[in-house]
Amino acid sequence: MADNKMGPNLQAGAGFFAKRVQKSLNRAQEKVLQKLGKTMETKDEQFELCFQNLNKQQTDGSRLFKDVKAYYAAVKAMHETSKRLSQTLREVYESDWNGVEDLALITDSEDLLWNDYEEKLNDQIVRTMENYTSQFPEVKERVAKRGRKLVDYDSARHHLEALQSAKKKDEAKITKAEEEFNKAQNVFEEINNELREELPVLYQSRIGCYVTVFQNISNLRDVFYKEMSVLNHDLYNVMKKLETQHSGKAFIIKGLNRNNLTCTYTHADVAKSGTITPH
Amino acid sequence: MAEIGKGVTAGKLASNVQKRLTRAQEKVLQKLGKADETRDAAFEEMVANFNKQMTEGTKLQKDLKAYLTAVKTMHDASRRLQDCLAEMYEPDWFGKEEMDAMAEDTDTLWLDYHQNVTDKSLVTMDTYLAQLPDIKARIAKRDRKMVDFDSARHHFASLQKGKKKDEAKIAKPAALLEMAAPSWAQGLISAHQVAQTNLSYNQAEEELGRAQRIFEELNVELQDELPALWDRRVGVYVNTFQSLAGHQEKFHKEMSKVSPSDQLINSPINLLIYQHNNLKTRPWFVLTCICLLRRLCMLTRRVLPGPPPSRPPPRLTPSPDQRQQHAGQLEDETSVPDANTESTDTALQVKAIHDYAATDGDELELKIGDMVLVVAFDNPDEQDDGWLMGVTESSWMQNKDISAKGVFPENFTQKV
Repeated sequence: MADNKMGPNLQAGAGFFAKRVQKSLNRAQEKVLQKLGKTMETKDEQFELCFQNLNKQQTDGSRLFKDVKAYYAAVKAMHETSKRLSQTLREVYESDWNGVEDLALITDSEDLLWNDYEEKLNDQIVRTMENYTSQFPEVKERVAKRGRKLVDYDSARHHLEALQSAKKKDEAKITKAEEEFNKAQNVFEEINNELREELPVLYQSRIGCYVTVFQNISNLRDVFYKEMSVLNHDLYNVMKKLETQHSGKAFIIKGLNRNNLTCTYTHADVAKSGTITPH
Repeated sequence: MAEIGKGVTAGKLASNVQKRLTRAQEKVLQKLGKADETRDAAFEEMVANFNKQMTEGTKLQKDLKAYLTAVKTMHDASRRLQDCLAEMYEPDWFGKEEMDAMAEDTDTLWLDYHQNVTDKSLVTMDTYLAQLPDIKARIAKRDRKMVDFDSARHHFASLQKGKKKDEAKIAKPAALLEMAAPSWAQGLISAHQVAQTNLSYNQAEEELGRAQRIFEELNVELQDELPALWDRRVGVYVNTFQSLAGHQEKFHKEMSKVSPSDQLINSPINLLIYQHNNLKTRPWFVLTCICLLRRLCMLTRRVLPGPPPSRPPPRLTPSPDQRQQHAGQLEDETSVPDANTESTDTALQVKAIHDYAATDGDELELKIGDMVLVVAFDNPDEQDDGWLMGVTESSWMQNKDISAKGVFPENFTQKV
């Protein structure tokens, strides 16, 4: 591949490229031979199981992440609509009505509570899921790499075996093949051992993650509900005060119907007699 | 028939057109300052209030509807998360029934809340607002009738003014006409002229009277109703928000009860942590989770003494020492011999195959056949070889907590 017309960098690049091509060819060859049963694959069924678990774990994790994000969005929507409702109430509230300051205080507190809830949800849950799911692509890449190194390993072994069982042994070639075999074996074993330790641990860690997420959601929600219910009670009382202030102007659902005068009430009638009399 | 119908419609159409023309004419005159309008500042304020009331009410209704939609969405998102958890829950984990029951209770609470707010608050607003368009129409009608009244008034006034002039105008030619008329027609022409003038005059007077009556009727009605309606808005707001606040409070209180955070020990999730606490190596988020929960648990849990320092496990002949390999675990393959290689996270339940009498306060009493749920040691360093920490299933079912846990020799039990 050395072409004197190319510069040194290009030459190096060409060499590297050539090596890659050679590797790919080797692997393809090896895979074909494997399929034809002419070599013994390094069996590793248990690794296969690990890999399946990994996939399931990633799928489950993604789903949970998606649902967690939807939950967070729903919380924000509730906050927004709740806030708008409170704003409108404050706008229609006349300044001479009972409880106008209390109302302001309550609605501000509610807003703070929502913000706090949202923030904590984001930090404790959304971030957690984000970190959890972000580790999978890297692991899967390493699993894929292991697969490639395994093919290299098998290929080197096959080559060595072929040389060793030849009728006319070429010592130089055998030595070289042995070297390559050892190297391939080391590379493979290293990554294989790493993964065989890490994958089960990773799989087990899903429980910790789920537990964290669900327990945190539960805790945050509980705190939020407890404090919110207090504010709800306060608002209820404010409304009661307002009602007392305007008592006698009770709202009758029947409403106005000028054609049917017997159904028309005015506040004067109610206040006067204490009972409702039609006019 | 069709012709009569056509005639009637045509007549009505003509009358409407006439009305509009008259009103338009009147309004122009008023604008040009050539005619005065009936004005009522007080009434105008009432109308302004009414419009404000309608705007406010409409906005509140819109906001309330948006809120209810968000509630529904929140419910769905909450349920989806719960489904996620339920699906991930493996058969050998504890607390599945409790969790399912909690999920159902939560679901019911959401539905009730949404229903209550819809039935009470939203319906109040809807009913209140439904009556407003009719009143708005009546206010508009009153306006039109007012213009009609003004128009009739001016027409009548101009007739009055012109009557005297007319009478003077026709006097001379009428007199001349009279003189030329035959004797039988004497007096008839002038009489006819007078009659004509009087007729239009009377008509105008009648019109005026009618227009005034119509207008006043509407005016008085509205003057009564509008202030009352304006005051009633307070009651509507009170009803709406009082019931909303009430239902919110109820909802939040009951949701807290379904998943109490001050009883962490009892929650199925928490026991799950204890179950899976014993990992060989602990990734950082598991550690965080454990630390966080331990801190929370410390608040409620009684502090139990740790196991006493090393003691040999009682020998039992033959000693059962089978270890089932959970699929997916590669402990056999790893070449690291670890004293604590047993993974209690794979064998969460064990069954006592021999009685064990507790010889110490922190030991667990065993009877043959007892199902024991294995939990983690608070301090893994204190765990002795061959000893596990657990709680009997009956104790767990009874107390819903693991306060009755104790250590027991592993080889007195068998993994299930």
